[in-house]
Amino acid sequence: MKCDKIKKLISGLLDQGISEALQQEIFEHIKKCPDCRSEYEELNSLDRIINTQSVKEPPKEYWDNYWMRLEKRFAEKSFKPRYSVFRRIKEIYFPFFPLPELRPVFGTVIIALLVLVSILSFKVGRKTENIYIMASKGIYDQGRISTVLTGYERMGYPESAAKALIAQHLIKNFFKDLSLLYRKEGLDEFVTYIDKGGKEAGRFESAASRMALLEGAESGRKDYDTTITIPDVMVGEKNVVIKAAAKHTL
Amino acid sequence: MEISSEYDLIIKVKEGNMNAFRILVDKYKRTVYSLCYQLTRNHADADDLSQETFIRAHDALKKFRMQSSFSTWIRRIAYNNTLNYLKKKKRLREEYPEQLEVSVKDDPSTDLEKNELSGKLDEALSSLPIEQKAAVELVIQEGLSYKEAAGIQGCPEGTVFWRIYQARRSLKEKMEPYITYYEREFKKTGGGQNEMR
Repeated sequence: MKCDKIKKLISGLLDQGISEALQQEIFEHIKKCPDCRSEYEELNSLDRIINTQSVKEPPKEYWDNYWMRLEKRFAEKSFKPRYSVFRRIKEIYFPFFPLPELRPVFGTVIIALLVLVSILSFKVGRKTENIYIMASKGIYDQGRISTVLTGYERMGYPESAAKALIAQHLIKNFFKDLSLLYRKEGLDEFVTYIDKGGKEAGRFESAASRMALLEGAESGRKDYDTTITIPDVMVGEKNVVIKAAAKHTL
Repeated sequence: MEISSEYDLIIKVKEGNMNAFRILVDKYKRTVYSLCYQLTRNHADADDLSQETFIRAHDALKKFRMQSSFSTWIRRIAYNNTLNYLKKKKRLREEYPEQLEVSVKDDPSTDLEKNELSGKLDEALSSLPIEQKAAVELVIQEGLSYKEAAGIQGCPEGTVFWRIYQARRSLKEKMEPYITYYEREFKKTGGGQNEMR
């Protein structure tokens, strides 16, 4: 057997984890090979060091008190109340629930309410989320606005008036994009509203642009940031919230 | 004789006899502590984990079907429990490195006086992967067979062989000068006589 293999097997030899025949073969080899003998002796010494130096035996008192401390832990454990989450909820919120036979009914009502709330929140959430997606697409990004602003100024418009025009433009486009988005998402109500009532949309345009004009005039800074807010829109009996969606930074 | 008495003790514990459990604890407390210590290298942790091992063992004894020996079974609980604890500790150390740094420094067991050799060995053992540390403790220190160690570590015998082989290699590399010195001293005292067959 070659030295490499012998050296690997020395570990097994020390642990008596190999067959007796193999052990004998290794011993025979070690007697003749100084290199492998040195490996064997070193590993043997290492084992001796491990066995004599590594055990940190705690003092006698530690072992004398071991059972006492363990018993104490057992006692603490057995007195510790074991509550399930449901039991805890019951004890806090319904400590005197009088009719145990009504518990299944009560549970069913709670679950039904939870389902209803989640369905409703999904429906509402979907609309506002869609609008938010459109706003976050960066349709009215800062770069585009400043380019348009510079263009208006070159045409001789004062800054506040230019901002008002941009705001008007933004609102118009906003409604256009919003109606496209709604159509894409299959939300017909709002599209119908826009289609039927162009004038109504115009009212929002002017309201928002007035606000932008006012804010722009007050500032006078070129890097002025303004926020356009649009009042909530009533579509039939539904209140469609687009306030957050209409937020833009000029 | 010993097996049957241990068997009787387990039956009694299953019937709720705490005195019988105490005898089992007295018999295995050092073994369990030693394994926990080898893996954690820390007295406070080893103490806590060894006691937790016995509490868990007591709770689980009802399900113990005596297919393996009690000694293997209790060591397996200690090994898995310590392994889980160390994983949790590692995760905490990654999340809150500063807090844990302080707590390690505050541990009085690290202030214990150590001679150079045991200090170096401690350092070398600490650097081993946990599975190798456990294999060293079970096979080299406790003298268990590869089969028994494999039963505790939940792996094939070959894996235990490989872990020990790798552990010895890394320890030898780190302890090289100390081994040479120790070997010389050992031979001087005549310890080397009749060492080999």
